[in-house]
Amino acid sequence: MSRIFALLCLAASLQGETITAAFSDPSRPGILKLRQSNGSITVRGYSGKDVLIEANPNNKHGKSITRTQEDGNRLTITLDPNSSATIQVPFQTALQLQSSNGSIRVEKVQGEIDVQSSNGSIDVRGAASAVVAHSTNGSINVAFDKVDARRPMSFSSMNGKIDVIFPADLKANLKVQHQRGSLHCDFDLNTNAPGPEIQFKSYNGGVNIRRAQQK
Amino acid sequence: MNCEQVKTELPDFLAGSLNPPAQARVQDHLDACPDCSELAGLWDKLGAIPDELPSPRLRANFHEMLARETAAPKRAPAWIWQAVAAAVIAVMGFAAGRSIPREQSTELRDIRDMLALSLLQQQSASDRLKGISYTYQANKDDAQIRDALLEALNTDSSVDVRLAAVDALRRMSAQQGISDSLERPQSPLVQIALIDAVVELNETKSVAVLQKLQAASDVDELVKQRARQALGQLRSKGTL
Repeated sequence: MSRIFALLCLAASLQGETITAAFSDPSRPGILKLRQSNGSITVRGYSGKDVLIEANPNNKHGKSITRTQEDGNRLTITLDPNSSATIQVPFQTALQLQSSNGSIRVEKVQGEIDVQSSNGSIDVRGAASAVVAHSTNGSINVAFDKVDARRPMSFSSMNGKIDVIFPADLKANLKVQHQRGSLHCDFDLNTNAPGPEIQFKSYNGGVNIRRAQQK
Repeated sequence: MNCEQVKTELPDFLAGSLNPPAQARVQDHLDACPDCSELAGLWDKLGAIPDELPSPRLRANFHEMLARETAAPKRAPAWIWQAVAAAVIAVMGFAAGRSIPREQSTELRDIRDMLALSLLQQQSASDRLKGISYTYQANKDDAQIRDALLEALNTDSSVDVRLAAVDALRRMSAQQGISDSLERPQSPLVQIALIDAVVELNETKSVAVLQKLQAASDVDELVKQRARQALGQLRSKGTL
């Protein structure tokens, strides 16, 4: 299988920097991978084809080194461990984001979102496919515009609160396991209804599953 | 139309290449026969797997699986091998025209297991969750499925997939693997799910690990509490 290394770019500057990276096949949805230690990450969907990365240096040298590597429509971004970044991606991009201490925010991205944080909060707005989210100590807030009716999802947290808003016409099989926190759900639980299975697991935080207000 | 005839027609039916009366006859049978309709559903799902580039590990697994199948020749209808070939092509983007041996043994369950195993290798966490949900239909003592779930539990990048793997392994009563996994560094929520599982499965061999956990300095306080509580629960079950 031939591997394509379409892009390898390296850049550094003393100020905040903007870097443009491209997917090797923009006609198919790409995958964006990012693992960050301390900075906050915002990823926003937009109508362009490229990925625009704005990294704000946050360390004492005021220096940020951003690297991107593309392989088979999968773009891996490496940031300075302490810098925050705002990244714009094509709407259909799938995201795989991990952060240790920073918060993660995703807006208007319609591909599948796989997001994890140890100590930061997770905030997803305008999701339109499947979301798989875990935070050990941070809260998880997710709002869906629509849901892909075939894809399972899962939301889990040890100490954070999980709050998810689904479209009013959601057809899914919701399963909740919670130990200590409260539970509120606008939908029927554990119905074994046809549709994807959506799991919620919380140990210490509460679970809040809400129906979106009709527009 | 009987089941055997339907199975022969199924690949063409799903491709929509039968003539309309034949298409309708197969559809009538599928509406009436749960077995055939499940089979048709599986076929559909195989087709729905996104065609990503296969990882080397996936390829190795498939070769292994094919080798195992070819090593145990029994009679089976040729369409099943067409199904396997279609799955291999659909799932892995393998070049068409590979020579797939005919007259080999495999069953509905094997196709479903293969679907579960291949989904577990996908890039997408949602696909891997789907793969885990398919393992609920596998035999509880299927070693290959159990190993794939253990691998997910111990190596998957997504905590949510690891949590789903714990539940699936619980159903398979994989005490040993669950207990072994407690010795590895894990996300605290997964550690708690593992402790719940060893208590439910009454795994007394975990006592040493639980004692280590509750005394460890680098373990989450809530996990330590749960480990202590679990030791008490195992004791009161009379297993200590």
